Amino acid sequence: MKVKVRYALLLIALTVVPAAWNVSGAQDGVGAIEGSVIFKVEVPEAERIKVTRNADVCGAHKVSQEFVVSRDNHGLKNVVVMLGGAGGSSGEAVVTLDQQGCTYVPHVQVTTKGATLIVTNSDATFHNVHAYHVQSEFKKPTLFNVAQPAGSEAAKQTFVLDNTGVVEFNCDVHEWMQAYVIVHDNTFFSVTDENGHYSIAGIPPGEYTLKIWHEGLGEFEQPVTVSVGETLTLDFPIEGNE
Amino acid sequence: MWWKWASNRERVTFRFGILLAFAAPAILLGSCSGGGPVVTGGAGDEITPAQKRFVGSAIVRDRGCVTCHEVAGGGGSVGPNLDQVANRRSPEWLRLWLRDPNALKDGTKMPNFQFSDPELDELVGYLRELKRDLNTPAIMSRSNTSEEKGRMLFDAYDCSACHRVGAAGRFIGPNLTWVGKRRPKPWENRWLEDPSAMKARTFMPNFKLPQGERLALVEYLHGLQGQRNGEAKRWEDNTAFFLDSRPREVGAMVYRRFGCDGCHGERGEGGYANVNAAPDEKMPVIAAAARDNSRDVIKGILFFGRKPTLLDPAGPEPLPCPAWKGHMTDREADLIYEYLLSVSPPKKKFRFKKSGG
Repeated sequence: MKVKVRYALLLIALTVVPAAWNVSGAQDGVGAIEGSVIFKVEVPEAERIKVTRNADVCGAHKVSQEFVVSRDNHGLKNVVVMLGGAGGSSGEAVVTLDQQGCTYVPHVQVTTKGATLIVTNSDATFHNVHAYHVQSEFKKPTLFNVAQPAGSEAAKQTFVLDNTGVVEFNCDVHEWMQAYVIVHDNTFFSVTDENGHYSIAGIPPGEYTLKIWHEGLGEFEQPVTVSVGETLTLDFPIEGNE
Repeated sequence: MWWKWASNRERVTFRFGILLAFAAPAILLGSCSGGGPVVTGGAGDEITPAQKRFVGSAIVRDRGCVTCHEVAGGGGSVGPNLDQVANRRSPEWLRLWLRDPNALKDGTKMPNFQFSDPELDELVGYLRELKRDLNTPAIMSRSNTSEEKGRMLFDAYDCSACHRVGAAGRFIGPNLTWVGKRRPKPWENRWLEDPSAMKARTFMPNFKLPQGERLALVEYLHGLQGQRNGEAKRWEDNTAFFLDSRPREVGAMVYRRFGCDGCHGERGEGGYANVNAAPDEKMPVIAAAARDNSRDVIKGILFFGRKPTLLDPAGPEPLPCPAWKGHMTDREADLIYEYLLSVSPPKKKFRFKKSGG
């Protein structure tokens, strides 16, 4: 009997400890944050956009990617979650933005300051890539505006993202085309998946500001304290604005 | 549905233009002329050898310059007429522009074509050949009034390449149909003398005008008080009539006709400095004005004007928003309201909530 209990305790210890390790990102001296962004009000219907030119390449309709919400758990995709105040780091990150069927792929991504952005046009039609640095609701100076004729040498171009902030991409030919690259000052960031889930691991313990951004919701901040070996679970509900 | 085309012409030709710019410039050479604001430059003249060289050159054909720009009486109306551009811009400026248009004018539709240095030299060379000698001293030595001389100078420099007066000219700079009501003469004089001293990074060139020419232009501009352009007004009103079902687009035209863009920017994003105006010595951002105020409030400001609060009570009087009552019809005020509503960012429908809250 006694032996059995000891055996059981050992079994519990063996199963629980690795579980705890996993949660903390399987690293020493660090913590993690994870959670979900969930719609608590009625899920908006995605807008259908009629394609008015180059339908042979673009298709007849496009569906707005502003609010991509899971029908199962109401999780919101493409929410950017970043850690502020975690020191600066600029990297040799390389990110890509492709134009496929008159849609930017990916729609939203995050990278670090100094990253290289490769913009390609895989479509058999002309796109111009007009990038804006979003400074406020009313102030969006152009970062660059280049021509990418189909199949030309200019259909692949490289840029360096020198400044932090939100970069918005539009095509002046196909006005529904929109994409965002968020340039952050450190590597602690995440973008929510189809279920609205995000996770940031390997965070040194300390006090930070969790910054959240979404194209249709704007920005939001919340102070957080990260402790060693712990995973902080922070879910963000979305409610109606009056 | 010709009216729909007309209202969208600038945008449509542009998109069309860049689409085809690389694909079929040869086809477009002959098909894109006509229509659009009438711009002077070579009008009534023979096509010069320089114009022939420009239009016929491989680089101009391959990049499809004339899908957007008019030269020698043919071409598109998205960008300005290029015949006299070298009279307005220095070779150095033209080179900088062609190298990186957006560095000089934020948000311009002109994309960066990534021209090589020899290509830049070639293009600037063509543009310099295109221009005619203005001979402005001949205009100044005529015996007509200062105001008439000013009008001739306005045409000679082809100010219509960027500015609209009545039904002629483009919408790159502020519409000048009403400028005489919006600006006092000393302001216009100072502006023409050195535009960038009053507005950093302005797109308006410094023409380095001799004083006599400058004063003549000021007289002409001050005479532009809208109501004198009976013909122009009829043209706009006819268009407005046909575009009845698209109030926001007509609203954009009315907004520009009264020159609201001159202070508040094309889409209400703010613009000029306004010395001693509270809180930041700037013309106010009005992009969300119609979203955040009622129709009556907006129309009240349009009809009765608004004086900014002074930052320093002892300081100079800032420029006011003029009272347009008697000049602007009720319908025009409604159309401006509709336009402002169309440029307002939508109110956010949802918001984040604090975690655990």
